[in-house]
Amino acid sequence: MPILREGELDIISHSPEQTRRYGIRLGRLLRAGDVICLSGDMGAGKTVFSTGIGEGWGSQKKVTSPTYNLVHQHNRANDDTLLYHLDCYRMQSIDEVDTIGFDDMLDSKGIIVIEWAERIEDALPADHLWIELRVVEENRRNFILEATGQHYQKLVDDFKNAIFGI
Amino acid sequence: MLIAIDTATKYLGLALYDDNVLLAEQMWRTGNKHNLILAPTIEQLLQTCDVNTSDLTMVAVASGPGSYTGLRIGVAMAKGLAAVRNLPLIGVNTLDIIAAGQTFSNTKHRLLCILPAGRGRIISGEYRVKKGRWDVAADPQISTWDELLESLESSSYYVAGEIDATGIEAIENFENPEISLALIDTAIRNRRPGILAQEAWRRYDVGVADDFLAAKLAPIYLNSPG
Repeated sequence: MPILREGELDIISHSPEQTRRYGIRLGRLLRAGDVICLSGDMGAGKTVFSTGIGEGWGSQKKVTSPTYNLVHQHNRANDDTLLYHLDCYRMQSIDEVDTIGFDDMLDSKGIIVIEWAERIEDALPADHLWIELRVVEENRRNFILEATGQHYQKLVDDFKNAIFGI
Repeated sequence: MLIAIDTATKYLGLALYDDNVLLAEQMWRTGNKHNLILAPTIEQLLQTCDVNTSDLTMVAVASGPGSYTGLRIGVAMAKGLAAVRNLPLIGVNTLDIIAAGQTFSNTKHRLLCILPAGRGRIISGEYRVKKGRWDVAADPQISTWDELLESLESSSYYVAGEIDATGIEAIENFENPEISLALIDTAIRNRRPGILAQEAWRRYDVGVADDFLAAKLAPIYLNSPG
């Protein structure tokens, strides 16, 4: 299991089911204000992974692709925190992220999961978790997690413990 | 009886105004709960003041610039209230509301009105005294504090509006012998829904009925992408 640096993790998924389970594990660890960026080609597993995150976090409605609505807002039973799920695929300029109230989301201390995050890189907070998802072959996906900032380094560490038990 | 609605930024502001009397005014920072509490808050205010929605004859709204989400909520509510009974709807630029609430002692001073623009930037509009009131001197801009301060001409400026810690620091640290910045006191520099109401009433008095058709009002978004 290759570990690159503090706050980095390189993992393989052999199925959508496994991708979803990775998501669930991460979702359980998320705290208010966490920003998770997902980047990768279509079919790499961004939405499946997001669905898992939603499940792990406890979303009352299943997390689905927000490609056409741009953003979905989720809540859960235990408290009134929110999970925002963005898809920036259709954004043509970074200013569009203002029109959906991205700044309000950042201020709200909700959890933000962003697909196609590379489209709005300049608008992201300095600290965040960046996950690069790659298609290696039909039943093989490669996810590289890269944390910026101490908080997210710990998140990656906790995630590693959750998956590998070390 | 005019009702004024302002949800352009994180503050929610409401006022009731009739015949040059300010009957009621409330304003507080709700964060991002505008969509949930605006309607019940309006209902509560009307009830407290013994006013029925059927008593309302005019609607005023802060029409932008500001937060996309905030503006949508306020303008939609204002349009709804006005359109249903064909009431005139007076939209007032958010920066104008700030300006209308500021006084001046020196007519050569300029006024900078500030609003948050998100992502570390601000919206700023410059005003100068013309015919006894603050008048728009330039198109509003989005910039960082540093960019704004660097662009100022040699003059004296009052600064009002929503200024956060970064802005206060930028103003305090600004050194230029040709430019003086006077940050208006905390509460006085805030825009008030009572001022929105007053300004809307004034504009209605001097305006043309056609200007105030509810269906025509569009929010003012700066830098609107495509």
